[in-house]
Amino acid sequence: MLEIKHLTKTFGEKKAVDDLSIEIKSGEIYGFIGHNGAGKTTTLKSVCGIQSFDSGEITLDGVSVTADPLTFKKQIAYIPDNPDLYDFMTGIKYLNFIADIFGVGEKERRERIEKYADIFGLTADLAQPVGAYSHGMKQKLALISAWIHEPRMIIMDEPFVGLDPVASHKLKEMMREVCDAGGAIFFSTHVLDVAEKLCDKVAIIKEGKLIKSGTMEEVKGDASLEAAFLELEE
Amino acid sequence: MVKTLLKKQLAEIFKGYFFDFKKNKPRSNAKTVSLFVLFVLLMAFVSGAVFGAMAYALGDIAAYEEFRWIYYAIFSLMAVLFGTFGSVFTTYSGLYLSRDNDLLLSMPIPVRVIIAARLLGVYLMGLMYSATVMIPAVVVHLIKAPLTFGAVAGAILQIINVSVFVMVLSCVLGYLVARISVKLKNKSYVTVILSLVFIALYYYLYFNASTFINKLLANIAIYGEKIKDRAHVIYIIGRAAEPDALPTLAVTGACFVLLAVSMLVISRSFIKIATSTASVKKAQYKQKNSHCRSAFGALLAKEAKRFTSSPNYLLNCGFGILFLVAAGVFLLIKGKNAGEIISMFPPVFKDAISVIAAPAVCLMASTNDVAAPSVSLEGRTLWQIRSLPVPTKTVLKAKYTLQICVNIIPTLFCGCCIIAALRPDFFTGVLLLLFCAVFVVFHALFCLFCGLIKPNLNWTNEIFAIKQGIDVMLALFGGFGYCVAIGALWFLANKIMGAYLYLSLALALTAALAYLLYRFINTKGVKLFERL
Repeated sequence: MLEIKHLTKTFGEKKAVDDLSIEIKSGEIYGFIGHNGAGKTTTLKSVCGIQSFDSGEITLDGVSVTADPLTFKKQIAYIPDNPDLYDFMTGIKYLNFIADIFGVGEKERRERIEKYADIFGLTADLAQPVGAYSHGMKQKLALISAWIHEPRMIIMDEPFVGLDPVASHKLKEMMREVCDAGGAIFFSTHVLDVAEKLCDKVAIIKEGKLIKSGTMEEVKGDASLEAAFLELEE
Repeated sequence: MVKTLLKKQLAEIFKGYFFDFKKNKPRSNAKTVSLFVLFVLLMAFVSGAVFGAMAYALGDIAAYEEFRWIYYAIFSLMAVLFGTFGSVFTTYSGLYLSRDNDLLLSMPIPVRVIIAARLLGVYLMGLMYSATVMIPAVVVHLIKAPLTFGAVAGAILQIINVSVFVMVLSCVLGYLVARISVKLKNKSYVTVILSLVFIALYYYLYFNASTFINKLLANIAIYGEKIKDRAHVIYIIGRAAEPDALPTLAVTGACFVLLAVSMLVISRSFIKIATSTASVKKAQYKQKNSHCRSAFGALLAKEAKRFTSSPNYLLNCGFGILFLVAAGVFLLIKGKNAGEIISMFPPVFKDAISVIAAPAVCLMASTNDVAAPSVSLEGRTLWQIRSLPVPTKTVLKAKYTLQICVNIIPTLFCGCCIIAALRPDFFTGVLLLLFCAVFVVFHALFCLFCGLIKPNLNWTNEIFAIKQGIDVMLALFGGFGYCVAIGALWFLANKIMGAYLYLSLALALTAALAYLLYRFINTKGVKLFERL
């Protein structure tokens, strides 16, 4: 499904991502962990076509993000770590804007907005301007907008930050549903307990380099993910 | 602490001059200096020349010691009006709507220090506008009257006093807007309407001031005595610049006391206003059928929503709509006899009026520069547009199309009104309208071009993107300059060609430039946007 091959990105002298290769298959929830500044966000931004990169190749079902970015982007959804949404729109207008861009039909968008807004308890607030939303509400709105066009691959940067426990639980269920339907999830997190329980595979990045990847068992062995991570970081 | 905050505020205001965000590195000293010089020259050329000419016309008053106070009173009042007009729109957003309010309020910084730092931006804006009026007046005074230390000191003190008073007035108006805003639902429209009322009042005073000045010149001694008796404050203000010890002390003292009082009032209410949300009923969401749009339609609607949601954006980049409509209506009412009067003059004169009318309409249209800050305004939300499956060309097309939509109808309306008033022949009328229409397209593309080559995505207050960016300055003054050049060149060209040919050539040139800009935006512009 998603293939990242030999991805390298430098900022001036610093190599933010160094020859990173990852493959994410259909049905997988893939966790991406590393300390601050390790290169997680740069990788995620490169994957969804926001960030240009120096060398390497990123493809989704054979479609390259650089050669055919529009076809690539139609199949994915991206949620950044701090979703700065359009403050001047109301929640519902924002969702309709995203649905318009992805060409989601009237019936489908109405059903999906109703479904996901109810799941996150955001329905009553959809007529409010986004500027009046709390961080958590913005995160929920960004999640609904990501799910609105039923993408095959969802890329998320720290998706659980700012979410209440109920919303976190619902998000985990939604992530699993995407994978059960043949999609995949690629997300970064610092919450290692969540990653350990939720992810099928995990990759650990340090100073731009992939230091370990594989199934959860392969990476952590008999120890906890936290213990394995701390050992690898040392 | 004050020094640190002032440095931060100065860095925010002038960062575009010192740092190249596109290349992500500091500018060279030579480039920084040249950008400042360019800015000063633009201000001196556009506004300074107008007030310089006025000061020169009134300069004889300054030569007479007994009437000099009248000269300074006139220019001080004009500077207060011009300065307040220039800075009032930035005061509300500059004081209360900055994105770093929460950050600064969370730190152990006294509110008065935050206010002082914020007011620096307001003060500099007011000083910039008021000095544009005062400096030409001071220069003419020092040329016409004997140069003494007292005259120079008095003039400098008057410039400072006027700028401080401008800040006080801006703060009062900003505070009133803030107090009203916390109680309102449709803040942007109400702020726009209030601002328009203020602008109408400003122009009423401005135009009546010129009538008053003319009457004053004719009867200076009589009016001087009347002002002394009935409006003693104006007399004191004028005397302060001479300088006369007691009035100078009184005016300086009054300005600084008013400043202290306004700062005290703002400091006491700052947290409540800056952290409040409008006390309006929460809008209830009712599910209804949504209207599906194309990707371009959605992007255009997004740009339009951004434009109409922000009073700053509406006022600073759409104010020309009002000018165009008002000028058109004025011409319809007052210009009925203009055509008949012009028909009595030789054809050359009639041609000149018709040719100059086209760039004059475009000059007003060029104040609507909606597309110029539209790239910078993407700011922190840029990730959004970049992650969506929509071609960059379409994103840019939505930006310049909005400006064309905003500008085209009022511009053509004004053009039609000019035709109705001046009654040029059919072909000249068609050319005039065509020129206006093509200029609107050219200017929209030019504004976007400026936004793409000089974007500022790292603003903490949208006013920096809307009003103070290099992109906006370039777009605004570039549009002015082009219209003035087209109008002025006619006076050279009319010796070798007629109005038809000149207007046709101007039209062809504008269309060619529009095409080149269109090509640039769709090629290099796309790459520039994708590299942001």
